[in-house]
Amino acid sequence: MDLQNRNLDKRELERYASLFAVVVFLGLFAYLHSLAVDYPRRGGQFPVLVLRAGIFFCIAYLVYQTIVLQLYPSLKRDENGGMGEYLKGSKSQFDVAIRFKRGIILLTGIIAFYAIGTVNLVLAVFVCYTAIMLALGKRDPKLVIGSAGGLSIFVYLVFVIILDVPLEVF
Amino acid sequence: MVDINLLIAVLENVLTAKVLLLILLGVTYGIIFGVIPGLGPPLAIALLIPITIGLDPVAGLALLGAAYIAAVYGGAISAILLNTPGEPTSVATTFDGYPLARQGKAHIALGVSLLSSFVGGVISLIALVLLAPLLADVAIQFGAAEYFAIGVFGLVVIAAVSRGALLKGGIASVLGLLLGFVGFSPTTGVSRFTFDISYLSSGLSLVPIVVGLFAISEAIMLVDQGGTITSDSDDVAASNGGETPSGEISVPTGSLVEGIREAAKRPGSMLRSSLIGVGFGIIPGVGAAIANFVAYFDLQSSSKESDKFGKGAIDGVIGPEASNNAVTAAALIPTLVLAIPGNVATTLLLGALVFYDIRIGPLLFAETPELAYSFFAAILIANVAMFVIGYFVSSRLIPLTKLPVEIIGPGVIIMSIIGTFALNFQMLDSVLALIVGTLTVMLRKLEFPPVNIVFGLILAPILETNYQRALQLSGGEYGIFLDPGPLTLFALSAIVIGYNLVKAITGVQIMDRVVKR
Repeated sequence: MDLQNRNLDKRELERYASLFAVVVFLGLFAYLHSLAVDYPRRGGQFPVLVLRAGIFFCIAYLVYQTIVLQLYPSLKRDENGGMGEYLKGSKSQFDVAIRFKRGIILLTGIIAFYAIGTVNLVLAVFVCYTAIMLALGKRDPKLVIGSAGGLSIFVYLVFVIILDVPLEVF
Repeated sequence: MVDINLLIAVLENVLTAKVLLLILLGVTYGIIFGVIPGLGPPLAIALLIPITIGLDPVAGLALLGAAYIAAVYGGAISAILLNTPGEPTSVATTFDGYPLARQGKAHIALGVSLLSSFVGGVISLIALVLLAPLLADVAIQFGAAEYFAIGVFGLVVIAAVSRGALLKGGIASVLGLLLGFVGFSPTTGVSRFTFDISYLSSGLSLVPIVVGLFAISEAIMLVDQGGTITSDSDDVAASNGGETPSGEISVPTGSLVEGIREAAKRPGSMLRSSLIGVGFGIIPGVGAAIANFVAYFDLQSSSKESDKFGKGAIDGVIGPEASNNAVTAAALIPTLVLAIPGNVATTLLLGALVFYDIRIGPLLFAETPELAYSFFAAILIANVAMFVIGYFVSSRLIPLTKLPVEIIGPGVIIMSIIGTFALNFQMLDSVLALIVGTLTVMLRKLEFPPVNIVFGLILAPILETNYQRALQLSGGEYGIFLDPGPLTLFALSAIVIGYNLVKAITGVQIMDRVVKR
């Protein structure tokens, strides 16, 4: 029962998040529309058409979610299934704090990759890839070093040798 | 009537150790470029062109043709294993290919994709040989209004395949179209939505956005989920303090041969999708991107098990894969007969043909038939080589889905950064891919389909240019869109919308009855 309530709460939360996102898009489309109508030489003619369609979709979504679904709750089922479940991905194995930590690890690793990439691309691949894997909890040295070494060699062969990407990149 | 002398000359040209070796190298190289996010057929061909300068025309064209078809196929491997289509033409493959991989059936999906790609490629080649001049005549009849209507039809089909999220799909399509409007207007030269940022003035590149939408967003989501691509995360216990669980696979796995057999049981699906690929492939500019979605929609709407689509349907892999490989040779029809390239890759091939001083146009078959048919024979051999090499390469890559996401996720992100950078040597391209990837995670969680965004981006210049051109031709009269050609296509779009609305409404009614019982 608790699980069912939790799932319902989650769906409601997602519904409100979707409504908020659509309101943001509506504001964005309205702002861009105000820019597009002023473009000279009919440069904004087609974008204006598209933006009006976007505004229509947003309003239709808001009306559908806030009015139609209140009157006809059975239509809610139509939202399930389809590609939605694969679009959203599987449920995380981790709690919020660890998920946040993993996000920060990825972000730090990417920033470090750009920084070390200014010195040497292959070195950046090896160091950052190894560090991210270790920080994310992979401790098997054979797997970590093997993966980082393999990717570094692959990057060197394909990007540096074949594509002529300079070693001091970015 | 087969010209025996011509046939012998073609075989002498193609069945040499040098040409066969180049085809094998081209196929291997093409598959690698297709698999890596951010690369793909255009870059694969562009990099080979300088190498082909020293080769004779048959050898050079064989190498380029082999790399071209193999790179298109390579996109399917990463689409299935990592939800990362190398090219827009492989986007629809992710719809059912990736769910199959997540169920531990990557072997089956890859086998289906391999045979479907091969069949699509061969049927397309037959069309190229037999129907090239005839089909090119049809394609040349298309005017601006027809092109606009085809673009609209494409958008409608995309909305139809993203079922359950029609309005969100519409909003995502508008977002994609807006991204396509950034930069100078293709018809008036007016700078739009650039906000005085110099990077935006030349418009947004397609590749960083595709990589961000699919590769980076998927990598971030995998790292967030934990386990492996194939592990069923819902059944795995919660976190153990940041250390990832072993991710042992408990789901059954199939074999590539099993997948090939599954596809072979559905010759009708492969044929239909291949013909759709041929039909759309001959339409320059628009066809390649639309064909895989139309083929997917066609099989989905005609299937008795349409509910399985999006969850791992075999036909959901056959449709996009047979059609996108059917586009490869079909796109050569307007390229060779009319000198109108169908896509970026065929534009580069056209450049190579011009370099070899080959007469492009209707006289190609009259003046240099040996060369033209040798090129086609090389592509046929390349399709066979693709089948064999693809079989072994795909099998070797399947363990990727069994690796922990802590290995796969960061690796995909690093490859995506380098791949998008290498395209134009612009760091901002890779930053754009990262930003798009991060935003896409949020959009995906809220069920805004990323495929609509990429499709809007592709179609924006096509739709706008042809809309403006049609109005110019008609002196501003909107009646041009009601001519028989565009009207037929608009009617087709209306049928697709009507069909989906009826299906959605009746689906809800059936569910109501089930619940009441």
